[in-house]
Amino acid sequence: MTLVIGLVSGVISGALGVGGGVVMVPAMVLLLGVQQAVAQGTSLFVILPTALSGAQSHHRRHNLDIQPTIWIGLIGAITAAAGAYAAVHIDNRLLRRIFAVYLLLVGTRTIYQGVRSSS
Amino acid sequence: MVLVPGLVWAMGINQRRAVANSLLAIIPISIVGVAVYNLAAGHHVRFDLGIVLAIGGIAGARFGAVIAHRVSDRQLKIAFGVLLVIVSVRLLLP
Repeated sequence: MTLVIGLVSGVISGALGVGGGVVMVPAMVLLLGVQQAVAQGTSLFVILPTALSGAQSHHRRHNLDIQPTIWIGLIGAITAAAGAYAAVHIDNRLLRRIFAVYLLLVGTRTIYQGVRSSS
Repeated sequence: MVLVPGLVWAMGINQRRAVANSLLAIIPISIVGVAVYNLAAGHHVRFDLGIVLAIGGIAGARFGAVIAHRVSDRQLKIAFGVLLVIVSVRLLLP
């Protein structure tokens, strides 16, 4: 079961460019009975080799802009550290709602753009 | 989930290229994530589970990358949008 969870989250990660925690964390909690905090920590660890594998696979298909992206990743890493610090001090429920609304807006906009585009 | 639309917008690239670039950009971010999360919250990684998940993840990500190259940019956009909406609804539900 653990291997299957890894596999499914890997496919989502490689195809859609997300970490895979979206699938992995709830699956670990619901199917393996792992605590939420442990599931989150473990998923952060798993994202590393998964993203590396996906990025390498895309690179083989000449689909990667290495230099600008590394800079974006490094800036993102600094922001992530600041974000993690802020998350401790901001109400968790408020943070969840803000993020949910953001995802809903970007998600519906992306679907709309996809449906409207011809290619 | 923030990176892909951000990259499409900032770099003016298509969805498929944003997927690839996002995977690369995630790497330094998750290194910091693991470090901060563990320093802040103690030992929260189950390495026994993590290694098995990673084996599945490595294989799955390769397959996912192949899928991303087989489907159209339009389909990729719609699938990504649907994923965001699902996650959003899950976050909003109590």
